[in-house]
Amino acid sequence: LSIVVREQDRAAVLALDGELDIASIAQLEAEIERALRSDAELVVLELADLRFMDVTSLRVLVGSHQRAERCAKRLVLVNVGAQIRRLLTLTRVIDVLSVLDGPLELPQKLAP
Amino acid sequence: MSGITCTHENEAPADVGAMHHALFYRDAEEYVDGVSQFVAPALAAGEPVAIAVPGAKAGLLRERLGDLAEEIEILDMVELGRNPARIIPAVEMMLAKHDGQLLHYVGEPIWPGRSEEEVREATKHEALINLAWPGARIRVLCPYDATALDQRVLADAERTHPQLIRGGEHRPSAAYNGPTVPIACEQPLSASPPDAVALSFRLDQLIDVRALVSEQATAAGMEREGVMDLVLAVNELATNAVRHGDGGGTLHVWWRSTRVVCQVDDRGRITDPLAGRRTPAPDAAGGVGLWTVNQLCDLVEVRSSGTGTTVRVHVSLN
Repeated sequence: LSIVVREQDRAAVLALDGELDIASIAQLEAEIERALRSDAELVVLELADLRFMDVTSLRVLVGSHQRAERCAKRLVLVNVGAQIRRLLTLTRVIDVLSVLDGPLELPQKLAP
Repeated sequence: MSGITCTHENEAPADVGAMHHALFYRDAEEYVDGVSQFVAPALAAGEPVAIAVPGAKAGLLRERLGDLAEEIEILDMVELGRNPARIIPAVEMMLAKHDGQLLHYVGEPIWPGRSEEEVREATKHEALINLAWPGARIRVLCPYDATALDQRVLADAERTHPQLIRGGEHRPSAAYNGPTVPIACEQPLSASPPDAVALSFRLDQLIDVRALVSEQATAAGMEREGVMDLVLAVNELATNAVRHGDGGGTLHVWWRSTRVVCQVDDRGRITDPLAGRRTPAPDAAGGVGLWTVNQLCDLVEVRSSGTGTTVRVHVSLN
């Protein structure tokens, strides 16, 4: 898994490339934590190049989402691929997480 | 899963005996009579009724029940019960939906023509019904085709149901021995075939586990979506092995003209007989892996003892 972080306006964009499982999720969790502690109000997970996500990673994202809400920030997933969308739907986590379709500019417009 | 015998035998809730009935029917008339007698009082009382039977049987019942059938949630058991481990979570959702009302549920998970493996898992499911909802407001009727099903299957149904109905007569089952799983359902699985591809893995090889499953399933002719589902399912089994099975395990994959089979062996032990049969909340912290596997695979065989755990999953190619 490789994660490229870029900050723009008050958003932190984490672009993921690779596969997310119990061997790699700690790396992402640490990056999300760092972003939530920064002054970014919006944390964007750009998933176009993420080829696999497991159930454990999904649970971690739910936890991160809840922490973001507690500090009045937002965590959103963009460009979710077919495998991850299926996982989100099957586990009904799609009702819990913010998932945005379409290009990356979209979440910035939604930023406060 | 000796845990069932040891822990629960003498602790069965008082109402289990009254809640789980097998209906041995010899023809279509006994079938519709038996099911209507079970559901009609509930419908008259305005209580919820759900029926999960093979599609053709649902037609017979609709015909008999007429307008009353509109009050019933009717599901195709061939779909719902393809993997019998999906039935208990589905019924649990119904219980939650009807929130404290007495639910009458008709479930026919075993029908003539099911494979030996499927019948074994469906029999285990029947046994687990006696454990699944202690104290819940539910009554269960399970029709068995007494003419076409094998005698061994019917004998196991007597072991898994506290109450039997035959020729319109109700009696307690003498063979019912508390909520235990019949020994035949716990026999070790057959050895994986010589042509199976094997891979030993630890944490850092989960990615190789996924690659191998993807490659084999694709070679077997599985559609892309099916491959994604199988890769996820086996990843969850391998993840459980890394977490609970001494840091790793062994994967075997093989395929035949109709299905792909994957098996994960590890040194861990599953002690909860209902593992993977409870629908997790969307924000649940754990207990999701095996449930996910059950949702994604057509048949899941779990064998767990002091020496380790084997989980074999089957996914159909069509």
